Amino acid sequence: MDDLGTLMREAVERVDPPHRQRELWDGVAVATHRRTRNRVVGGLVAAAVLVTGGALAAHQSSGSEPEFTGPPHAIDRGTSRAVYGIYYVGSTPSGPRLYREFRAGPAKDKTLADALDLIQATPSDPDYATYWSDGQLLGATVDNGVVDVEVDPSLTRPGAGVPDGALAIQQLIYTVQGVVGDRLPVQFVHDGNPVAHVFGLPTDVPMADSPELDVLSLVSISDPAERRVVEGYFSAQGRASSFEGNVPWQLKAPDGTVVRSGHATSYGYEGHLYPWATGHIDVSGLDPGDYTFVVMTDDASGGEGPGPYVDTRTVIIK
Amino acid sequence: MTTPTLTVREVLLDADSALEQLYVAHWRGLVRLAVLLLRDQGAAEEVVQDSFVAMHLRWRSLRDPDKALAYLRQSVVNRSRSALRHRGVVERYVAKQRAVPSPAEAADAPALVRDRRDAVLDALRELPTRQREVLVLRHYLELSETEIAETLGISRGSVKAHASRGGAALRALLADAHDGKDL
Repeated sequence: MDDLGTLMREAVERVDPPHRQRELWDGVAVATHRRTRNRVVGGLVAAAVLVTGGALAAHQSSGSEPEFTGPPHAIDRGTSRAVYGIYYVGSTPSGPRLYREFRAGPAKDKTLADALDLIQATPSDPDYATYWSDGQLLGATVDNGVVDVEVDPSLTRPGAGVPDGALAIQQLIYTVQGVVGDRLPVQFVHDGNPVAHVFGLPTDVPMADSPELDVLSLVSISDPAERRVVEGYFSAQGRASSFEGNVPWQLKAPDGTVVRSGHATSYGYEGHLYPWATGHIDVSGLDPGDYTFVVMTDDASGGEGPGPYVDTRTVIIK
Repeated sequence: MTTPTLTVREVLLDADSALEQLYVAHWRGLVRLAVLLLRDQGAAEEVVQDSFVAMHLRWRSLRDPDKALAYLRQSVVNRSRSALRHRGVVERYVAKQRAVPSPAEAADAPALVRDRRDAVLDALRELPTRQREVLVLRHYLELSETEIAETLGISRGSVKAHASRGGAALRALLADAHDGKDL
């Protein structure tokens, strides 16, 4: 027996420090802000890349190293693709809200044009939809701290509309802000001039993003992507603002039976969305098939409120 | 088309989740490791907290939870060493020494066990830094010689020498503390 090891373990067995996650994230925020600012000043651009043909997953996008802008090396072209966090519309107990879906663009370098193409395309998750139709958003540029989005003139006519024009505009703002990595206001323009109305709403001045808790679903899944094939185990992660940071999840079999369940936690829940993660979910021993991973907010109202927010993904177990 | 700048949201997303998971899983264990190295729980918590923040910044090059844990251990050891050099920590350590047992210590813990805990932490503090680090990594974390050498950035031969000399010194200190009582 290792006597010194036993003595050391005994010496600290009563050391049970309280978690200090709020301070931890404060420290991360300070350190990240410092680093981000330095990198912008240094002219560096981080391009999140994705190996072609790989599963679309957030952890892959974040695993890449920062890269310089400029023409990509010929050898890289086509071997990896930029990943975009595109906001789409889905239903929630509070009406339509935005969900973020990670999607691969056509090229290695991230561009606003490709993000606009994706926001006007059909989302991968069948529960989501987009308020933007192909041909409405023509291009975007960053000019003096404002993102100018060129729109088709048909959008500016009276009567042009979608069920929720304000949410459509937030869908665009959140998406382009994700691409530029900064919360820049958005100005709709046509032929270089601001347009007065889009979807019947006044748009003559640049528009800011609305607070997350007003426009986003209060829970969303970043990973796995829709119809990801898993074997043995998988883990899920996303963002939520759920009572006391409690994020319940379930895995449902093709017949709807709950075969796995648990709770993820986020370190906070007030003011905005916070990351949650499940850790490994063991699916060895489950029959192959299309399963549904379900994550929801904790309903603190005891059933009296509008009910929990929910996001789902189809997960294919091999 | 202006080329966009950073993709901060995406790049940081997974670092956040990794940090979250590693924090939940290893916070307490790493604080205990730092307490063995530093004696002072407050300073130990600071060191571990700072290590997690540093890990988050480095996530892109770590990516793998196992690598991240190795990085965290190394960071905790290095930061503990720096903290010990810091005069403030030494002063706090002295103040703690004079204080009553820490609040975490249950009143019903047998006196012998309490004494033994203090004796072990005190004896570790008496050792030269390298010896203490090697002993804690070897006996508490149960790392191999190779892992210890990598963590501390020293040769395996040095690990052996520190382990041997440090082990003998620690046992002698503990024997003195308890006046020959069998620990």
